[in-house]
Amino acid sequence: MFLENFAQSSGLWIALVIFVLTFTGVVFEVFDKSVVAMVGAISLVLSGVLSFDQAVESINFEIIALLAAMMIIVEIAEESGLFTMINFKLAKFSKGNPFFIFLFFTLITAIGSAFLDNVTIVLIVVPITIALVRGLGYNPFIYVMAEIMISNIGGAWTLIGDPPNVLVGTAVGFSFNSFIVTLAIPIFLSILALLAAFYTIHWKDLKPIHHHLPKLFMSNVLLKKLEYKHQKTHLSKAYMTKVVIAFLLTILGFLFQGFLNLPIAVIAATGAFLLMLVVNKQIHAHHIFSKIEWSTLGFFAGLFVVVAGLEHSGILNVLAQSIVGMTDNFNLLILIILWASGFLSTLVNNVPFVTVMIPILMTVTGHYSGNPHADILWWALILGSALGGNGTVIGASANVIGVDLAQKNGLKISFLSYLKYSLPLTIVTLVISSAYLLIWANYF
Amino acid sequence: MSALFRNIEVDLGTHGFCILVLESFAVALDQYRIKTKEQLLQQCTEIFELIQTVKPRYAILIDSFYKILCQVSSEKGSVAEIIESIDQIKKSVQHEMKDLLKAAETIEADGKTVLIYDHSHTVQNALHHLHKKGQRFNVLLAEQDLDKTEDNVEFFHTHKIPFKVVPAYMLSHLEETIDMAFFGAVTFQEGGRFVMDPGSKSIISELKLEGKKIFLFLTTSKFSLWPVKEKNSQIHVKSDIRAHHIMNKIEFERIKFSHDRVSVDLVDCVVTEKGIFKASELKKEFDRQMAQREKVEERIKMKLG
Repeated sequence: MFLENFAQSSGLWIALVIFVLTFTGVVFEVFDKSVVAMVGAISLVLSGVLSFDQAVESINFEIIALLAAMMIIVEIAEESGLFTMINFKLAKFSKGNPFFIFLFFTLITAIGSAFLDNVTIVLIVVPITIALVRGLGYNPFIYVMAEIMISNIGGAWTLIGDPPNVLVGTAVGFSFNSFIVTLAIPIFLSILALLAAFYTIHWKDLKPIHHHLPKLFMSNVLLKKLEYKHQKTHLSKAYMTKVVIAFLLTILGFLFQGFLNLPIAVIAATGAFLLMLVVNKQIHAHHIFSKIEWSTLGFFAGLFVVVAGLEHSGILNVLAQSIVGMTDNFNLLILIILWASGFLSTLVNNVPFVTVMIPILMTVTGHYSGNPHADILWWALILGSALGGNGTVIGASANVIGVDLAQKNGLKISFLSYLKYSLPLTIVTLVISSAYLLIWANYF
Repeated sequence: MSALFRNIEVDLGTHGFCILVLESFAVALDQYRIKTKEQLLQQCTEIFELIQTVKPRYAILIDSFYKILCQVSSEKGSVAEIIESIDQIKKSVQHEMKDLLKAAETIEADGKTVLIYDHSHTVQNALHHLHKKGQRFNVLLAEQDLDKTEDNVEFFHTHKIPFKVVPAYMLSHLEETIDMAFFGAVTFQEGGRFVMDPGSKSIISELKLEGKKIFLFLTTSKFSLWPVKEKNSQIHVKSDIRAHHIMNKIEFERIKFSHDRVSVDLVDCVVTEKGIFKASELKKEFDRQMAQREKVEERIKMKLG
C-alpha cells in the first residue's frame, strides 16, 4: 500500500517536473522546441510514468495526419506559383494605390490564413508588401503589422487555420462548418475593427495617391517590375489548375464532412495524396516529403505524450476541479477562460497551452453537461488562444516568422513597437469576442 | 531607388530598363488627377530630380526627362500630349538599338571565336543578330558573377549559339583560340572612359597585349553628358554571412565593386547606332553631344526660371 502510494505520488511529481521543464524549454527556446518536447516524452517513458504503448496511444494521429496533409497541399500550391500569381494580380489591381494595397493584402492574408497555414501566407505576403510599399516611399511597418495580426485573426476562423483550432476541433469533434458558422461574427468584427483602427490612425499614409505624380510613377515602376518578373516565370496552367481543383475539392470535403462521415484528416490526406498523384510529373514526391515540417509534427507528438503524463498522474483532474470550484457563474467562467487563454497566449506559444487545456476543459464541460451552452467554453478557449496570440511578438508562430522576415527585408519591428499596436488591438478583439460569447450564452 | 533601378537594369538591360521607366511614367500620368499646370510641372521636376540622384546615372533617362520637362513647360504641355511624346521617345530608343545592330552587320565573325565577358543585353542582341544573318561563330564565355553568367548561358542556349564557359581567371590558357572580343558598357564618360562590368579592365588589357581585336557596343544615347565628380567606383561594400558546418557562421567583410572604368584607347572599334567609331572619333562625337547638351540645359533652366 505504501509502495503503491509512493509510486503514485512520485509519478505525479516526475510528470509535473518533466512538464515544467518541457514547457520552460519550449517558451525560452534554448533548444529546438521539437527536441525539447521529444526529450520530455521519452523521459516520461524512461521514468516509468508512462509505458511505451501508453505514450504512443496518447499521440493524436488525426492531428498529425491533418497537419502533414495540409503541409503537402500548401507546398505543392506554392511550387505551382499560384500564390505569387495571386500576389501579382492583387498588386496590379491595386494600381499602386496604398489604400487598396493595404485593403487587398490584409484581406487576402485573412482569407488565405483561414484556409491554409497562416505562417505560409505570412511568408508569401510580407516580402512582396515590403518591396511594393517601400518602393512607393512609404514605411511598410503598418502594412506588415496589420498582415501579421490579421493572419492570426483569419486563422482563427476555420478548423484548419490555426494549430490550436486543429487540436480543439479534432479532440472535441467540432466540424469544419461549425467553426465557420460559429466564429464568422467575432472574426468578421475583429477584422473590421483592426482595419478601421489602422485606416483611422494612418490615414495620412493610406489615403489614395491620385494627386501625387512621383508616388504614382514609383508604384508603376514597381508594378512593371513585378509584371516582367511574373512573365519571366514560366507558370504551368495545367499544374496550377490541378492545384486549384484539388484544393477546392478538399475544402468541399471539409464542408460536407458530416455527409461524408469521414474524419477531417482523411479528407485532407485524400486531397493531398490525390494532388501528389496528379502532379507527379511536375514535382517529385521526395521534394514534397522533404518540405513537410517534420520538426513541427515531432513537437506536436512529443507534447501529446508530455500532457498525457500529466493526465495520467491526475494533476489535470485536480486543476479542472479547481476551475469548476472557482465560480458557479457560467458567464464568469466563459470570461475567465477567454481572457486567461488570451492573456497566456500573448506570453507563451498557444499550442502547448491549448494541449494542456483540452483535457482540463473536457472535465469542466462534463460538469456542465446539462447546460445547452457548455460548448461555448470551447469557443472561448479557441478565440482566446488565437486572438491572444496577437498580443506580443512571441505570442504566435506567424508573429515570430513575420517579424523575422521583415527584419531580413530591412524592416526592424521591435518588441515594444509591435506591442504598441498589438496590445490595444488584442484587447479590442477580446472584448468583441466576450460580447459575442455572452450574448450567445444569454440570449440564444 | 538606385538599388531598384539597378536591379531592373540587370534584368532588362539599359534600353529595356529605360523603356520600362518611360512606360511607367506614361501610366502614372494617365492615372494622375491634375489640379493645376504648375503642380504638374513641379511634380515632373521632382521626378526628374529623383532620377538624377540615382547611381549610376542613366543617360537615356536623363535625356528623355529633359525632353519631357521641356514639353511640360511649353504650351503643348497637356497630359495627353506629354503621353504622346513619351511614346515617341520610347520608339526612338527602340529604333536606335535596331540601327546599332545594322551597324554591327559589318563585323566579320564567321568561323571565328568571340570572347564575351560582361552581361550586356546589347552584346547578346548583336551576337544573336549576326547569328540570324548567317554568320556561324563560337562564343567563349568568361565567367563572372554567377547570375550574370547564367543569364548569358541561358541566352546562348535559347538561341542555339554554340558556346563554352571558362573561368575569367583562366583566360590566359585560351588566348590563342580567341579571335575577337565583344564588350558592352553602361556609359561613356568625360575623360574618354567607359563604365563597364567589374573585371572588364583586366581582360581588355590582357587581350590588348595579345593583339586581339576588341569591339565595344554602345548607343550614343548612353553617353554621360555631365562632368564626372566621383572618382571612386566603389558602391557595394557588404558583410556576408555564410554557413560553415551547420550552425556556425563566419562573418566577414566582402568588398565588391560595381563597375570598372576603362579607357577608350584600349578598345579598337566602338559600334554605335551612328556607325562604327575609332577611339578618337568617339571622343569627338562625345564632345559634340556634350556641347549640345549644355545649350539644352541652359534653355530649360531659363524656362523653369
